[in-house]
Amino acid sequence: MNSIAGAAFASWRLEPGTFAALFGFAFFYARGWIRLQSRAARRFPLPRLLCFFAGIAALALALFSPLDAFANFLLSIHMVQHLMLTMVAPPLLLLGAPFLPILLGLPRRFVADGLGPFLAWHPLKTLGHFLTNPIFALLAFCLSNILWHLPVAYELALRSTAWHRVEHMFFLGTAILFWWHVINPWPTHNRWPRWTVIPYLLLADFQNTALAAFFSFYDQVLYPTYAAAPRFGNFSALNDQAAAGGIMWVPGSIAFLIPCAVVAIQFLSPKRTPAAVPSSAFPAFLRFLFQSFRLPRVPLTRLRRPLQFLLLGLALLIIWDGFTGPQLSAMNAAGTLPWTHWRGLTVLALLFVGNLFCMSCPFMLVRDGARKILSPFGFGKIPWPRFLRNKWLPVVLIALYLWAYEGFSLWDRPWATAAIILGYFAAASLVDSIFKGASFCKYVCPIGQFHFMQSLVSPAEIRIREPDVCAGCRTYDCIKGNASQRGCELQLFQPRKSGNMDCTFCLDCVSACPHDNVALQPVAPAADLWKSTPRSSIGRWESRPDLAALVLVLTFGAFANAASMVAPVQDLAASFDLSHLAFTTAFLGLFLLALPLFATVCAAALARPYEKSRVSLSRTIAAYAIALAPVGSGMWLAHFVFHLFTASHTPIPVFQRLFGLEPDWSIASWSWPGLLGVELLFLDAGFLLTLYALWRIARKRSPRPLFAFLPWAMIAIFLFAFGAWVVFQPMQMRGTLMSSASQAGVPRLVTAAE
Amino acid sequence: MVAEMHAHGCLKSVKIKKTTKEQPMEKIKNGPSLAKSSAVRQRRFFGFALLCFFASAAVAFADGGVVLAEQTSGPYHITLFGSPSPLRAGAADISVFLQDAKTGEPILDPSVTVQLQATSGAARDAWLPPCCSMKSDTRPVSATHANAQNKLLYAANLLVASSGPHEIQVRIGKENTAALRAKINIEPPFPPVTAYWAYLAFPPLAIAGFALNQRLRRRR
Repeated sequence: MNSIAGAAFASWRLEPGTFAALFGFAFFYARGWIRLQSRAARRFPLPRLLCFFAGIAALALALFSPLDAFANFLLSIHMVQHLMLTMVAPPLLLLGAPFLPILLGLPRRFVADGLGPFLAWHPLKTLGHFLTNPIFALLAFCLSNILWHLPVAYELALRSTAWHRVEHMFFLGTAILFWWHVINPWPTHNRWPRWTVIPYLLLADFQNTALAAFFSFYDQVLYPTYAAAPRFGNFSALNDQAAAGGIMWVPGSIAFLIPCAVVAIQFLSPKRTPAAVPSSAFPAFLRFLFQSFRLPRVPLTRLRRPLQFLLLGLALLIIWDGFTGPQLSAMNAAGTLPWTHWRGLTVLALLFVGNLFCMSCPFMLVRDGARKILSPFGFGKIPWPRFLRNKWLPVVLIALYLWAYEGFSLWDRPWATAAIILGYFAAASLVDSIFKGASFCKYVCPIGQFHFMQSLVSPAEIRIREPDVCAGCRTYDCIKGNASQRGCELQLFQPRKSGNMDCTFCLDCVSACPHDNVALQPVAPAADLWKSTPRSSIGRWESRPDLAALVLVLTFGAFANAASMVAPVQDLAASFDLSHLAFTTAFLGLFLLALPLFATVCAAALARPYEKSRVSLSRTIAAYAIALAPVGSGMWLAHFVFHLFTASHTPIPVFQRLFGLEPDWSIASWSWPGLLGVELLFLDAGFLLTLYALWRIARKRSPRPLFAFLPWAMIAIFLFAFGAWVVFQPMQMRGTLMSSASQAGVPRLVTAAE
Repeated sequence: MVAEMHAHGCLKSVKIKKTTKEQPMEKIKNGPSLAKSSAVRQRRFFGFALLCFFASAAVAFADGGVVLAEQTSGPYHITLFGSPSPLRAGAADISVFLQDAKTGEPILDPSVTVQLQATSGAARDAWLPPCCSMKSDTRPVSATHANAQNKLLYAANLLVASSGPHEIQVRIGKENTAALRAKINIEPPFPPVTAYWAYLAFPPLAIAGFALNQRLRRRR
């Protein structure tokens, strides 16, 4: 194979979204098919599975292969791609009779509660019935084929990716409807006599032949794009068009005539009882594959210490560089690592796993050391003061931090960052050396509270495996500890623990449990928000106004923090005759205090009349406000991920400088145009999760849930709309050499000399 | 063993029952009880919905876009493509196809750079993040096969800072003079709501779907 042919055949590109969709279908089909083997193996023999997989492969070939890459060059190649979408993939998919396997392969609850009501909805069933009517299907297939080949429509698809997608969707969708009557995928049945399939196919073939003949014999190039496209050798655009017609004619007609012949033979042959399906080792093999596929068990307990030492090393480096290095954030480890990378990676870890930062917290390493030294002298025995056993102190600290971050531009003062980290080490060591347990983590640490709130939407939780094992336990090592391992310092008793609030993922309970019954396990994200059961060491949400305040400060703080970096807000600040600190104080006072207070009091007052039982305003606020956590998490994610990707490479020159190499400040980044879409997806997901949590809470607390839900939903809608507006604005590139949005809204490049 | 569907009006109750007696397939397929039951319609609709979802997965990708200019320069025949069509301020894909001017054979070896510069009259636009925070490409950018889906093309992903009249230059190899120069017009970027309508439309659609789901469940 020469280099040109090699390059042509290498022209593959996997589009992640489509690939994920196709993989998902194949996965759920295979899962359902395996389940059916023990119940209806005869109805779902191996060929069905193979047909379905072949259909998926045909779709992948049409969409990812060189067929797609060359579709804009050669009409004949484009025709092959369309034939794959209309003549190959749909019948193969339908031969797999995919409905039952996929239904059984999908999560049962999703099918029952999510899809079930729609599938039983009469108007949709009627619509489905109408669309699969053979006359409609034939007309739709033929019309789609003809109309999309009109020069106006075809050119539109060639020039616009979006229209090209629509064209492919029409081709595939109408082809599925068309082949439906021919294949009759089980368990549907023939609506018309079987012999009608023959004229049905012949009519479609007639249309196909007429169109193909037109392509073959027309003496002008139909589509200007192909007339303008570069030609390969002597293969003119007209020859290409004729070849496309030939492809449509011959293979296209064969695709219609073969099933026609099969149906004719079936119709003329005597009926036979289906033969018994020979047993095959394949289902067992596939089952084995599915059962053996398990996520590897990560020895997190062993990873903890090395991770703590790694972060301790980085913290020391940041402190040293912060005090001694250049005082420009982009050039200093204290200006890049903690504000951009640590925050971005932490929120991503919280989204995909859980509170991994608290697990590897370097402050705890130092505090453990300090406690070990001081405990023989009687330190660390005093209980944390009762009046401070709540979240009010961290709420104040978080508000102060957000104010100082913006008001004193902490992100741009490496020495201040270093001082804060140093202060953090001192505070953690001091508090936990004096007081019992993990008082610092539970009642002081603002970073920990941030992670607790974010981890409410995490997909994993440290929890018990089998409740029965805990029911029989009499030692309670998970909370009390034992001779070799301390118990939970945050007083979370595993059998009664629910959700991630206050859990630092320290894994002490995992190590302490003598029955190996505590582990990191997957959970439904945010499901804890609408549980009204009392939680160990936390109680019920509605009895914790301090937790509500924490969620409100962090949620509204997410939007205020991001908004203060965008050009319009900075322009607004410039238009007032106020100092930066005064404007920040007013702005954050509005966002962190006035707005949440006003919004939640109004919402609670409006929702209260519809509550089942009369409770105080503060209890109503506390019950609902917790549900705002996901929309706040969505905004933190959108914001931090933006900075993480746009400033992805900034530590490279900083480390080059630290290690005595010549720093290369002209670095690239992982920023790509689709990043804004990802940010919006985070916002969308947080917003929808908040609405769902509010709805579940309202349904539990109110006989008329809609009226209780709506005032709170308005807050979520406001936050979402504001967040969407913020992400559309040009944002300061903090921690990079690009900074300070100019008046035109485009960031100014700040040179190192500046 | 034959599978028999028990439908009670919703899919939650769809179960597969094991029977000891074998029933012929035709009886199940054409049996009057099943034919009339809403469960068959239900499954028909599900099948239809499911497979239409396949259609939504069948997306196409523009590679190369439309031809912006074509020229023969020395031993090369150069075709320049641009995507999206028309080109807009923000991210743009510029592809170059090199052919032997005599034989029409694709040429893959030389290095190719493209440079897009605004000419007088171009307006600087506030384009959407994160592109506005990325460096716009006014210097020569190398176009590579790795950037292209079609490996016969050389592609460069550019950030265009402004709209209005622009000039694009293509250089081949180490030549200082451009092998191809073309004047193109860059359109202003779409407003945010238009550019990202799908992301903004998703929540209302999801809410509508959920509201309908709840209503239907309550009715049942």
